[in-house]
Amino acid sequence: MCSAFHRAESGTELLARLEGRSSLKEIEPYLFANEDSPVLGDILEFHGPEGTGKTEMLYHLTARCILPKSEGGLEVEVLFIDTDYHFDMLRLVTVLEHRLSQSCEEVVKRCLGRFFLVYCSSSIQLLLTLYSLEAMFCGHPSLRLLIVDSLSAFYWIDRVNGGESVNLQESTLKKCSQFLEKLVKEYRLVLFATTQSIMRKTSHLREGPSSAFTHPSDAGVDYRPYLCKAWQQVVKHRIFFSKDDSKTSNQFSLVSRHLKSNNLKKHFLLLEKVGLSFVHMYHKMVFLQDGVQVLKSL
Amino acid sequence: MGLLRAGLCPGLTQDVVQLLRGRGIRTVVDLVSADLEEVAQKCGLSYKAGALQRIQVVHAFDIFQMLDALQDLRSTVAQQVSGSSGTVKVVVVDSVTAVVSPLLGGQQREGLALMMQLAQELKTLARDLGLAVVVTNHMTRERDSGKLKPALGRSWSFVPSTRILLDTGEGAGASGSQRTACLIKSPRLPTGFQETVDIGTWGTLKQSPALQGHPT
Repeated sequence: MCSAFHRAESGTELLARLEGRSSLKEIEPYLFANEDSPVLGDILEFHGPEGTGKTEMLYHLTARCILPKSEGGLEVEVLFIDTDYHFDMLRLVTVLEHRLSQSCEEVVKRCLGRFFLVYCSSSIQLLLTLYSLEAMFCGHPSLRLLIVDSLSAFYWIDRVNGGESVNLQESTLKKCSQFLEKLVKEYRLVLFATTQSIMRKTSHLREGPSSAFTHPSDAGVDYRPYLCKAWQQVVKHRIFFSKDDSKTSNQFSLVSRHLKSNNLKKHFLLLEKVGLSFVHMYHKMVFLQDGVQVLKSL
Repeated sequence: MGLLRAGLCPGLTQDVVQLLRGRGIRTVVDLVSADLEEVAQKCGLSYKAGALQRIQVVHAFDIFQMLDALQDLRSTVAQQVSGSSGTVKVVVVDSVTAVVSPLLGGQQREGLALMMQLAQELKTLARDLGLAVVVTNHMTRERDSGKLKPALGRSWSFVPSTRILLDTGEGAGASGSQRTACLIKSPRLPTGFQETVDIGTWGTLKQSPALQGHPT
């Protein structure tokens, strides 16, 4: 649909596109070390139970992207697809205001001008929205970040609509995953998608989709893959969010796993009224071949 | 100056003006300086009835009745002329556990799909129509640890954007009408904030220290 448009981009657009190539590397230096930083064309998954800071992390990353360069941002555009109607504009504006040196309405408005929000209420609507958004990616070369919150919102409804056939149940999400991969690769985007932990790890499998993805280095994380295999295959980097119940109520932790390099990292976050902040100490866990884990503190 | 006449304020119809005139209240000053309870009793007015008329009660004893009621509400609100005094602003569902928990359990995924469909209806009302949606839920105990947690499981826990945990007040001096409200999930405020409320008088204990030890 857009290939003719794509070929006919102007010189400035080409420069903008190429310049944007390295711009997302510094999106969050604490979360992504050099070797793991999201390369354009990557898909990252945020997974965790409710109230663990996934959406809050998305606000943090969004703010970083839409702030102007003079205020420490990356000045790129962000497209946010909200499937469970959780997006809170007031919260995003609060986070932005606290990051700006002078939070006047003009600056906030300009930042929000780089932010696009779409609501979807079913997986078919999500698929059709993605198809129609392709034109938008063509026309906005500085649109670098795509966010889907959350991808698992229609899981149960899809399973019932698909009847008895697991293939039918997963077909729309499979198409979404494949199209997302195509969009991300073709337009050099980074995709952050959240998925909810709606399955318990120890409970016996109900007639769920068969995906043998239990990796030994899950590091005790409460993760049971339940989305379709097509989605599992396109994810490059998975980040697990959890809340420390014993500690103070605003401390969270996340374990980040890069699926190719198999690097595991644990981080601690503090969630305050002004937004998310990283606690500086973290441990790097390295798994050796015989399964012995070595905890190196950095 | 300032004679009462119909249409001066909402609710002041010609009948009301006549009634008040019969009691000697002719001007705005008279009305404001009169004891309203007395006036209401004498004039046979019941302003409380007006307030009660604004509460619409719908019975729904299973999930399908609930979904029908919400869809009816959605079409009614969507068609209403904005600014009219009859617009719905708050929807209270008491309780969502009663209609959803019979569907859960066992191997049935239809139950979970219906629950998520209910969640979508409620979220549509909140987001697209700008209504405040308040839902009540029960607490259950976790099988292994025995800890208390909200009912309806993990999938439902993602649905509400704000969660307040209500509990009976503890302590020797606590009267029977005290309850604590604790914020356990919020998109904007820090969680863990707790407040004690006296449901007898509907005041918070901080504001009325004289009530402590005087159960009402």
